[in-house]
Amino acid sequence: MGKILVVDIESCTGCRVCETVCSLVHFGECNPTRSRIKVLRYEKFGEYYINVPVVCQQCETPMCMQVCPVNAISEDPSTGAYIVNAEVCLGCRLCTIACPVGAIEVDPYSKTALKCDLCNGDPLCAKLCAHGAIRYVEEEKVGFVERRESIKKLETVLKIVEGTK
Amino acid sequence: MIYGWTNTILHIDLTSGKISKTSSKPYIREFLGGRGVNVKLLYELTKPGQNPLDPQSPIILGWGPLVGSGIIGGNQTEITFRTYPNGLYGTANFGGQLGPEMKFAGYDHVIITGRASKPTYIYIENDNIELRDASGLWGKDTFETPDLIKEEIGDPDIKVLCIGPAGEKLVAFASIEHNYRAAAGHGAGAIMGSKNLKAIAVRGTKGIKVYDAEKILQINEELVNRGKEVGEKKLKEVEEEIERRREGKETNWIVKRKLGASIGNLNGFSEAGLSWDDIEKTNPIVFKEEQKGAQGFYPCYACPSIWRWLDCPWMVKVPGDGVMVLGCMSWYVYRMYTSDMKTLLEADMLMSRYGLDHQSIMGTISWLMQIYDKGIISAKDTDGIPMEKGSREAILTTIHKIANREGFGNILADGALAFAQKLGKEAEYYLIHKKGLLQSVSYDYRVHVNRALSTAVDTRGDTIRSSSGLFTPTVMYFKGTHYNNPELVREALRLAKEAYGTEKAATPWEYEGVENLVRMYQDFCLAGDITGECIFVFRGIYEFKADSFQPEVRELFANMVSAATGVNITADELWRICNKVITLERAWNIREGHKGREDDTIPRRLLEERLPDGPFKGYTLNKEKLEELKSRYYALRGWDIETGIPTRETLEKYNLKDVADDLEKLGKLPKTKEA
Repeated sequence: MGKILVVDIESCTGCRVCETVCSLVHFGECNPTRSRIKVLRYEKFGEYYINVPVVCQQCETPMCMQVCPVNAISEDPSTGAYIVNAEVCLGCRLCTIACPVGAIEVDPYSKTALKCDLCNGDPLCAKLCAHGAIRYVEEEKVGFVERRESIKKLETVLKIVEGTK
Repeated sequence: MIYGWTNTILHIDLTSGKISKTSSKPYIREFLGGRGVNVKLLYELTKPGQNPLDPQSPIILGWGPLVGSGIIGGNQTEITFRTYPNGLYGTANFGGQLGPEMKFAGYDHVIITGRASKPTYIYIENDNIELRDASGLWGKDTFETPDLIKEEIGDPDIKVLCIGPAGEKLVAFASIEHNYRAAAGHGAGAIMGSKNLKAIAVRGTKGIKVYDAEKILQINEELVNRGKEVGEKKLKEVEEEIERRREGKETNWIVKRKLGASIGNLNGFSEAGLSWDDIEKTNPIVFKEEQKGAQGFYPCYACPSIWRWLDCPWMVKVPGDGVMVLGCMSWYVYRMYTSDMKTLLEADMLMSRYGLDHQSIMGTISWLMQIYDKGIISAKDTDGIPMEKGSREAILTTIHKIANREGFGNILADGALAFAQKLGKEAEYYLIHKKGLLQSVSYDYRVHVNRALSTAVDTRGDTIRSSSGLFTPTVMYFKGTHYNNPELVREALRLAKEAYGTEKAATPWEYEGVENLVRMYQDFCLAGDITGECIFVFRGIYEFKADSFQPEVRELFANMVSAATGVNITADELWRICNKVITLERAWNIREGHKGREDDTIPRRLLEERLPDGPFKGYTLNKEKLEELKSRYYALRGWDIETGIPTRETLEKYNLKDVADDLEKLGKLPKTKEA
């Protein structure tokens, strides 16, 4: 069974090291615009401050793959990651519309789809996350990990709601 | 192909609205970037004796080759300018998100000159540069301004540098702010205000290509792993500290404060009316305990060290009250004579919102409280507000009045020295300043002679970035003697020898070798400022090895630059550039009227008063020994020992013949050759 990336919003400080290393390893440049993982920050001074790393969840039924008119997306059997064949990709953006998490986009430079490829089984974003906010977890354990985290998320939301009352 | 740098300097003239670009290539090989290239540009762009508020007086922003290169901690912005009101060398360094964004937009440096005819802000989006109307932003505070700009342009990822109402009103303490914190003090905010420039906003999407991405990733992995390791160690120390508190034993925090002796206001703690319990409230552990839910907040770009007990001084969010820099919190208590955290947090937020330099304002209020206490001033001098020690009213009202230029605040707004001179000689004596710039005596110079020396010789006039807080060996030595632990003393001496080549480094009150301590730490900061790397990451991860800028750390800096840029820089070369940059800064100051040794002074009180209490009671500085120390320091830098002015020989060694010629024309170049 494969492994996938699991994010923990509570632990994420928003330092964006993941974005940095992702663009470095794939493009030899530091450019958050070209990173396959992106940290979204929601903040309102004095009220809330949340960082959400958004990355491909390697869905069981990958919508991006299903909508692709030229079959540019396929599964890498060694890691289970769905990877984009840039040679074939048209840059039509259908995948970006289909993805339920918004984890696939078209690279503004190469004009082809950009998504997480799990770094051939050793995802750097997880490896270099000093706070353990991004973890590379075996699929069968994900359920437990995510539930634990959901409860933490709930706590955060409740705190915010409480605070704005 | 260019790596690490963008090769572009952006020039914006606000008077004419003219925007142009030039190459940074002629500068970067000689000065690398950041503070290094900034001082070179400042030298070229300024005329001797120019008024800091003259429209042509530039604000220079710079980002070194490591900024936006993806290296952990590569995020520092350097702002270089002429300080206001004293007109000498000003440079400030800060992290956050601005620097990488500017690099991603394609700029190594931005030079702003001129004065806009109406309130304006600059918006940079990659190659598009707009001067936009800021009439609607004028008067807004530094927290509102970035939000309004993001809203107006419609992009939440814009990074903003701005001034608050204090900068608009040309307050001498005005700062430029970024991410809810002061980014540049020493009047930088007033200079921006004098240009009618409210903010600089940027969005960059071009990225920075690096020469050797694999090497950078390898360095990052090493930094993260080492950071985690040290983080675990620190966490253990925290647990021990909690244990000590539970058992009612003296905490490490208090021991360190004892070593600091009279922190902040030159009064002893007892004289200041503070008990050790008050001081203990500033212990980060206690702070975290009492301010439930306090968390690390708003980390700098590509730096995970926040709130990991890794000595990162960046921000902590306190529910309900706002944010503050944990590392600076204790200074508020000492200087404002109160441990009423609610008031202090409120004061902190007010200063940030107005865009006021915290250190200078705290120094000013602390001074007013002292002279009020001594009966030198009365409530009449301060619009009827008694400047009682620790008074909430005194603290908050003074901040409001300075920022809005009301009543006595209007005079103070021209600088604390201006107010002191109005009050008379006695009041002036108690002001801790150097050429009108307020000093933060965070660790008492009479114990930490390295601080005295660095304050005296520092090119920008204060010590935050030229003198370490407490050196690890010093703390160990003190603890060893304090607790009668000879083993700890031995270990301290060993570490001191390892780090600085002399056991005396553990005892900076003994003068010996102190010039090395200062030079090493200055060069360590310079290396960070020139490359754009955050020094606190290194101090956190490499501990005392970074403070003493050991070969290992120098090598790592050089490797990082080489990996990012593809230009092979050796550790020795980097070190040489550090000395070159500080020499040019010095030469600029000399050109502008700094008199060298004669002006390398420290606030008088430190030479005349003895330490009032603590384990170092009675200590004072020895003027002669300090002068000798200055000589030894000048020699290390290649400056004339007698005058402290860079010699022609040294300047020419650094390809700065024109600078030597300039100084000669002004009759300021030392006549004698370096011994």
